[in-house]
Amino acid sequence: APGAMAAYLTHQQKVLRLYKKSLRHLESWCIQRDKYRYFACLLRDRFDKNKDVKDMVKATALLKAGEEEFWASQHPQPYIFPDSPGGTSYERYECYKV
Amino acid sequence: MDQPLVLNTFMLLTLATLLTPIILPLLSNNLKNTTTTITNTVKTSFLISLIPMAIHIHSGTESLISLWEWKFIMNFKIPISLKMDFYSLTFFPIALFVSWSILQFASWYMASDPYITKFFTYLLFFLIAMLILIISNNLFLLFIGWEGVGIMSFLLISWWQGRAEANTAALQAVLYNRAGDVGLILCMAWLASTMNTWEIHQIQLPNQTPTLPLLGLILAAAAKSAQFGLHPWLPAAMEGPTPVSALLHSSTMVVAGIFLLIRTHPLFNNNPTALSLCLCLGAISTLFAAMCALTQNDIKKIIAFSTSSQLGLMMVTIGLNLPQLAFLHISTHAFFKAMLFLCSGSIIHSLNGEQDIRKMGGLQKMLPTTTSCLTIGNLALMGMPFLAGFYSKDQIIESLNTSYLNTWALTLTLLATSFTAIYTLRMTLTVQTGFPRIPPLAPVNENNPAILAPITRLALGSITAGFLITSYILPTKTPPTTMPLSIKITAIVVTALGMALAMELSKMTQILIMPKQTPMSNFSSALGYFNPLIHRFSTTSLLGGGQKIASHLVDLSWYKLMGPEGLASLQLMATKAATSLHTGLIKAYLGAFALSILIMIVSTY
Repeated sequence: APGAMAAYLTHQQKVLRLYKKSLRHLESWCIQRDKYRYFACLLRDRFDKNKDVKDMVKATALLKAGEEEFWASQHPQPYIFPDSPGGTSYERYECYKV
Repeated sequence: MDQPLVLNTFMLLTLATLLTPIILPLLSNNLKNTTTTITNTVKTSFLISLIPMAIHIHSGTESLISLWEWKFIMNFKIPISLKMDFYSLTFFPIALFVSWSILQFASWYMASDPYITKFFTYLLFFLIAMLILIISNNLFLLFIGWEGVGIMSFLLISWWQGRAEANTAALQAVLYNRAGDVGLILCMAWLASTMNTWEIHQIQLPNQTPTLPLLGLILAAAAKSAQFGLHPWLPAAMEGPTPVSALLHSSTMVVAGIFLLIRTHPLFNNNPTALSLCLCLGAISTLFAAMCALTQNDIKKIIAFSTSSQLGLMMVTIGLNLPQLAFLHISTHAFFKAMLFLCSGSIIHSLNGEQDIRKMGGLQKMLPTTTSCLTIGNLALMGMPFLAGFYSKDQIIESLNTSYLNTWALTLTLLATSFTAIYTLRMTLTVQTGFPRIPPLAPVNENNPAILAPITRLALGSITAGFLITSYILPTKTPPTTMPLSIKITAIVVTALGMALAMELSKMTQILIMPKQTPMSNFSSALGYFNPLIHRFSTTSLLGGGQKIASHLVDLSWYKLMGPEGLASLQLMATKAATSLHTGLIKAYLGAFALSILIMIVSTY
C-alpha cells in the first residue's frame, strides 16, 4: 500500500533518525532554550558539512561513527513525552477503555 | 471529669466516624458515598481527634484499653488493646489533618476519573488501617494494620492498572514489604515464646535483649520505611496518582516502620549492637537516597528520594536511642512532605501531565500560591531555622554531633544534609524560576479552592507544627544543653554550603559548555545500579539454582546416580577391573572345575 513502511531503511532515513534523536538527547542535556539552540546549530552544521558525500561507503562509515558518538554521549534519563512509550502517562487510561 | 474515659470515648469515636462511610452504604441503597461525604467524614474525624490531644497536652493523661480478648490457647491470650499515649494521641490529628487535605485535593486531581468514589474508599481503608497500626498496643493488631496498609498500597499504586509499570511497581512494593514481614513475624514468635505476650507495655527485659529478634524488627522497619537494601519500591511507587504518593508514600505508610521501632524501643534500649545497626543503616540510607535525588528529573521521584532520605534520618535518630525525637521528625515531616507532593500534583495537572522538571520553568508568576507553598515546603525540608523541619532536623543533627557514637554515620548524615539542600534548591530553581519551558497551550490554573485550601493549610502546618509540638511536649530524654558554637551551627552551615553549591551549579548550566556523562553522575542517574543488579541477580540465581537442583541434583544425582545407574557403573568398574584377570578359556575352566571336584571326592574316601 502506498505510504506503508518498507522493510529496510534508506540511508536518508537513518541519517535523519540519528539527527532527530541526537537533537532530542541534546534537549535533555541542555535545559535552557538558548543554550540548546546554540548546540543544536552546531550539530546541524556538523551534519550539513557531510551533506554532499556521494560515496556510500564513506557515508555509511560517517553514519556509523555518528551512531557511536551518539551512544557515548546520550543522556541517561532522556526526556520522554508523557504519552509516549516509557512516559509517565503512557497506557494510563487503558483500564478505562471498553 | 474522668479524663481517661473522655480520652477513650473520643478516640473510639474518631475511629467510628471513619467507619461510617463503609458501613452506612451497606445498610441502605440511598446512602451512597460521594467524595464530599468521605472528605467531610475525615474532617469531622480530625476535629474529634483534637479533643483527646488537647486533654493529653493539658494534663498528660494516657490510657490503655482492652476491647476484646481472643482466647487463643490457655496460656497465651491476644487482647485487642489500644494504647492512647503521646504517640498515638499526637499522630491521630496529624494523620487526619494531612488526609483531609489530601482528600480535598484529590477531589480536584482525580475529578476526571470515573471510579473516583472507589479511589476515595481505598484511601479511607488505608487511613483506617494506618490508624489501627498507630493506636494498637498489641503486636497482633499492629500486624493487622501493617498488612492492611501494605495491601492498600498495592491497590492504590496500581490504580491505573492498564499501565505495565504501575503493576510492576505495585508488585515490587508488596514483595519488598513481605520481606520485612518475615522479620516482624520472627520477632513476634520470639516474643510469644519468651515473654508469652504480644502486648507492647509488657515487653521489658532487665538485661540485654538478644539481637536476633531486634534484627527482625529492624528488617521489618527497613522494608516498610525503605532503608537501603529494601528501598527500590519507594521511587517505583510514584506510579500511583499524586494523592496516593502524598498520603501513603510520604507522610503515613512509610513511617510505619519507624513507628514500630518507636513503639518497641524498650527492647532496643540495652542492645548497643542493634542501635549501632540502626544508626549505620539510617546513615547509609539517607546518603544513598540523597545522592540518587541529585540527578533525577522527574519531580515526583525527587520528592520520593527526599522522603527516603528523611526516613534514613529518622532511623539514625532511633539509632541514637531518641525515639521521641524520631516521632517529632515524623510529625513535622508529614506536613511539609505532603504539601510538596500536593504542590507537585497541582503543577503536573496544570501542565497536562508533565512531570519532567526540564519542561517546567517560570511557574512562579503563573502559579503563585502553589510555588510559594513549594518554596515553604522546600525550606522546611532543608531545615530553615524556625520552620517545622528545623525543630526536629536540627535537634537530630545536634544530638548526633554531641554523642560519642559513630563519627562515620555523622559524616554521612551531614553530607546527606548538604545534598538535601542541593537537590531541593535545584528543584526549586528549575521548576519555578527562569524562562518558561512549558508548552504554550498548557492549562495553567490554580483558581480552585479544592487546590488552594489544602496547600495553604499544610503550609500553615509546615510553618507552625514544629514550634507548636515542641512548645507543648516535654522531652523524655534531656537534650544536650551546651555545646561549642561550631557544633551548634553545623547543620545550618552544611545546608548553607549546599545551597551555595546549588546556586553555583545552576549558574553553570547557563554557560555554553556541553554537559556530558561522568561516572559519578551516571552512578546517581542509575540509582546506584542497585535495581538491575539485585533484581536480576537474585532472581536469576534463585531460578538458576532451582533449575540446577531440579535437574542435576534430583534427576541426575538422586534418581540416577544413587540408584540404578550408580550401581551399574560400579558393576562396570568392577567387571572392567576383573576382566584383565581372566583369559576366557572355558574348556580349561571346566576341566579345572571337574578336576577339583574329582580330587575332593577322592580325598574324602
